[in-house]
Order: sequence, then C-alpha cells, then structure tokens
Amino acid sequence: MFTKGLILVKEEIKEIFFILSFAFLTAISSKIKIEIGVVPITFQTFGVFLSGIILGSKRGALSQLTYLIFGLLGFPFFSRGGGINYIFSPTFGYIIGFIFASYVSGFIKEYKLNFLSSLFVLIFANIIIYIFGLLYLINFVPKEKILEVGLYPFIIGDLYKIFLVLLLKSALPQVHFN
Amino acid sequence: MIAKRKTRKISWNFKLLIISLLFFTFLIGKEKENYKSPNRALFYSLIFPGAGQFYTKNYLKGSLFLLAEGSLTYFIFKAYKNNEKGKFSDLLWILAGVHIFNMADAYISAHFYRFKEETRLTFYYVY
Repeated sequence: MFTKGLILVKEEIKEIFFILSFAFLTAISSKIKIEIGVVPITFQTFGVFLSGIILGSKRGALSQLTYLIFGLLGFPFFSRGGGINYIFSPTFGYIIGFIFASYVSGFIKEYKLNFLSSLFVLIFANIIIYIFGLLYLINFVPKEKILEVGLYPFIIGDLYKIFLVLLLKSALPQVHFN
Repeated sequence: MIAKRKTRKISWNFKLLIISLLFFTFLIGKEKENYKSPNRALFYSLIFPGAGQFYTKNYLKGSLFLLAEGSLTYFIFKAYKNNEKGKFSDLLWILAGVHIFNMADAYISAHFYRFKEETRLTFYYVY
C-alpha cells in the first residue's frame, strides 16, 4: 500500500504507526461509557475487533498489548484512569481478554472470511473477553451474582458493536503488510 | 371528507439553531480553577484538530496538529484530483491515525494541565 504512494515511509514505521493508532483508538473508545456498577459498559470492543480485522491477528494483538502497557505505565487509557494499581481493579480481566480477542478476530483478515463466518468469529472473540473477565471478576464479586454483574448487561451492546464493525469492514479500504 | 392536514416541515434554520444551542450549552459551564475537563478536550479535538490542545493552553502543539492535518487534507484532495488511488488511501489512513493521536493527546494534556499550571504559578510567585 505504501510502496507506490510514499517513498519516505518504510514498512516498519508503517507497522508501528498502525499499531499505535489502534492502541489509541481503543483508549479513546474506553471513554465512551455508561457506568452501571462494578463493570461499566464501554465502546472498547469496537476498537479491539477493528484492530484485529484491519491489522491481522499478530499486529492486532500487539496493538492491544501496547494499549495495556501504556495504561499500566500511567496514561489514563483505561475507562477509569490508569496506572499499575489497575491490576487490582475488578475489570482488569476484560483488558487481558482484549489481546486474545484481537488475535482471534484477526483470522477474518488472514483467511478472508465471508460475512456469516466473520460474525461467528467475532462472537467467539467476544466470548473469550467474557471468559477472561469473569475469571478475574470472580475474586471480587460473589458467585451467585457474577453473571448479573459481568455478563448480562453487555450482550446487546456487544452485538450492536459487532454489527457495526462488520459494516465498517466492507466500507474501509484494505491495508496490506509485507 | 377529512381535510388534508397541513404538515409543516421543520426548517433547516430551526434545526441548526437547536444544534448550535446544544453545542453552546456544552461550551458554557462553570469551571474550577486550575482544571480542564479531559472529556471536553477530547470532544473539541474530535470536532476540530488541535482545538483540545488550544483549550488546555498547549498552543504550539495545537497549531502543529492543525498544520499537519490541514496539509494532509490538502494532499488528499490533490491525490483525489489526480486520480492516484494508492496515494489517496495511504494519506487517508495517515490522516485518521493522526486525528486519533490528536484526540488522545488532548485527553492526556488535559489530565496534566493542573501540574503544568501549578508549576507556572509557583515560579510566578517565587520569582
């Protein structure tokens, strides 16, 4: 993509630029949120899935890892601030799940899946986020209430985000890496 | 026979008035001293490149972002006119990335505004 257009930009710089911008996109989308209790409803999974779909699995996961490291270093990138003490926050498990979810959603780019199979892949990626999040949340919330707090409020919003990402996928131009 | 009811369409001017009123209510609001709202900075930078940086008094950074995005937009139009597809999509992606950087930077600099202002005031009173 960059070879014809710009001579100055090398492949590595291009990769770093894309990885950083998707990390920042996830950071910005974490600010669009509804506080409902222990776990807020945020727009973050939009950035996560989009990073996987546009960058591919390896680079998408790297962008989410960058996001995690930036947040832990102290930048206010998570939905409730940032810093190393965020490890003890009940929502940290979801953020770890983002890395794997982005890796899984990258399969859509790598295997060039159609609409229906990419829908299933994204739902599977979302389930991965839930699993990591709930496994972490179980240390903070009693077992009887865990699904009420950590799963049911997010299902409708996440489906909406998945459809939004799938619509954007067909509209956005492809990015090619060597 | 029932007479046909006259439906009145809301004119565009009226809509614009409402939108601008909503926007200005967002702008006007009491602020604490030595504090700039990060969400507001993010919103400003979303609408106009560099506006969030101007809001947090980082004038150099804001004008650099404005310059960068403005020149990118110019080159995008140029590539579109000359029908260079590869260059067009490259530059569009770069513009999107720079805009995201701009927004994130506005948010972070609003967070750090208090420290910057306190340092400035300390120096002002000491010297």
